[in-house]
Amino acid sequence: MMTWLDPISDLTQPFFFYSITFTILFALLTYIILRILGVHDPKFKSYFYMIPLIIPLVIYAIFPPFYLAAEISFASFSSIADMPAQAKIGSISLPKMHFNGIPPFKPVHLEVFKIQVLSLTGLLCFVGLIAGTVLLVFLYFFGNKIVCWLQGIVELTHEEDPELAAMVSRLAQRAGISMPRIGITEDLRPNAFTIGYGKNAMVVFSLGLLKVLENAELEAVISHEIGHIKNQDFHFNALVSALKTVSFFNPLAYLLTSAIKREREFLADNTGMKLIKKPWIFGKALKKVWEASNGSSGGLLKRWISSFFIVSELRHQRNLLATHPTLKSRLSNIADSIYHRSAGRDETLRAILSCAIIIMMVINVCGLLAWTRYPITLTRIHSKEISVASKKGGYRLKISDMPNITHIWQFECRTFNHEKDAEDRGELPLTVELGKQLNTPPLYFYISIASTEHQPSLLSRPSQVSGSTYSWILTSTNIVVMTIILFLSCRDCFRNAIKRLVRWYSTDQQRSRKILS
Amino acid sequence: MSSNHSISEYMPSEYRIGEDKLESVLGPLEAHVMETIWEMRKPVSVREVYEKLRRERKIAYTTVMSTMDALFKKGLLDRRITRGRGGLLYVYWPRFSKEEVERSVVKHVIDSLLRNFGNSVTSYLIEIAASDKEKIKAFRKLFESIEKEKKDK
Repeated sequence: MMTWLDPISDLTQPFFFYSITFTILFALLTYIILRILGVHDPKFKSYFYMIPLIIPLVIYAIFPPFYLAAEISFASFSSIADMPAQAKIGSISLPKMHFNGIPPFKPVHLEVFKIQVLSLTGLLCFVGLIAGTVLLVFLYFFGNKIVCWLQGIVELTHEEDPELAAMVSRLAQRAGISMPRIGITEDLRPNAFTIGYGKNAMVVFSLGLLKVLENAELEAVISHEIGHIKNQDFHFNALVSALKTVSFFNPLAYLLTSAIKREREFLADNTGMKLIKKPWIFGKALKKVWEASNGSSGGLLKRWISSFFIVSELRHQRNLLATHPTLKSRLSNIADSIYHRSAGRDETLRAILSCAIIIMMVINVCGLLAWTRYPITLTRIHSKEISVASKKGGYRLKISDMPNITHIWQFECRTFNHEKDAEDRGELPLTVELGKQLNTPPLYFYISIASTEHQPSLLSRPSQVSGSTYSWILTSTNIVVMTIILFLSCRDCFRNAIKRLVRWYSTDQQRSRKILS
Repeated sequence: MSSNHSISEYMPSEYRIGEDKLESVLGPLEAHVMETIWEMRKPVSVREVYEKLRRERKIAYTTVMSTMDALFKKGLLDRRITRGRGGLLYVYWPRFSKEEVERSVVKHVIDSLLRNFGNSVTSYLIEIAASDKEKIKAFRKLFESIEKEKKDK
């Protein structure tokens, strides 16, 4: 059974809303923590940036993306034994009800049961989960073959280029890993990357690279690639790609992924540099590669697909989602053993921040809309709206549940009747039905939360959870975002003001000293 | 890109009497690569040639690469940079058809023979003509066709 709610209530489903909100919150938190603590170790940073990406998984575990609707049974005049074995999630009491021409009921107690239905956003989450899993499996089983085919990689035997093989094996030995395979692509522009993992790991060079670089530079490049293998970046890359796919609808995920990959690049640089005696040569090689490469190779699709399998590409991409740091930041990373905050990374963080703010605003607006649309007021079943349909199995009333963000039973009752026979609908006197309680076909109602122009009069039943959770989240996130924006925008101002104050104070003192002397 | 653009026909640098077919003017691997490229009938990258050759014999990629580079330098292959699998790469295609190459080999060898040992060549040709009736027929046919062509023009 599929129930489609309108887009706004779809967006405020707990799994969707919480996963996006908490991803943003954790991204911001990570960012603040890293900035305040001054964490510059790329390894730490890459792990840190993983946290927000894992959040959606946690949220889905708490709020499965299937859950949307609830089912209500008339506990008062139907035996619960008729109900299918489902988890009871709550109960609701309705006041006196009037049905068409039927004498009023006593107040009715309804039992609410969970039924699992997909919503639009639930579908998004579900697709993400499946795609992520499929991608992970795919990466591990077919990754190498696909990328070899896409990039036209030819494996070199060790006899073919003994010099290169010797260099690779020497560095691999120094790093303490088994000798990776060597492959080449016919690309005339210098580039190098790593594919595969464990014993199947392959370091791939482009013909251009082998042509352009001198031996010492080539050694530096190899050491960087070996750094990737040693750091198990294939697994890391696969995991991050899968997580990105899981929350593919969240733009922040893409930014986080590229940030993680950049940190892994820095890490590989650091690992690689320990293997060679003259680390600065890697900077030279990198600069050569940078200067010689212009634009991207292959179609966008091909590159995009390849990017899942290729662990590290030496060549850079010029865009916001670049998985590689800028040359400048890498060179400064190489130059300094203490890592500097660099322009490239700063840009990513700024991008993450602005993205977070944008999403925050969208969610605020959505929440506000949802709120105004479904005010915490009264819920009433309008007697005229209810019509009765009969079916076997017991009395039932179906109700679409608002997400437990607002968690109020608000509904409008319409006829719910899948029976082909129109005569059944509404013509069955309820009294008669009620009279033969035990043998009668059930009553079916459909209660949807969709508001129509002629809003039914609503009678109150504020739920226990009510809007407070939602408002709490909104308020706190707003406060956090505002604080960060203030912090970031005023940081320099504050610093400058303090500097000016200090300068003014010291010059003032000097002046007074002069006067005194 | 290529220094050999002006060449309108293939010019063999040497001719080895003892070898078979194209191997008389090219190295054995070069001849094999040329044959393969002619068979493939489209511009090919080194990798494609390598993958085809690998099925027939044990061969290294780098060998194919250097062979094709040598063939390019000899003017038998032409190449251009295109966007292909993996990035910008060279694709090669034969500058001449197999027949054109064979004809130019014959032309240059006989020209050289005539230039150096003109009299002996003529006398040998007469000798052949006298000894072998089939060859006489073949020569006659050839001359007739040449004359026909002249008349047609």
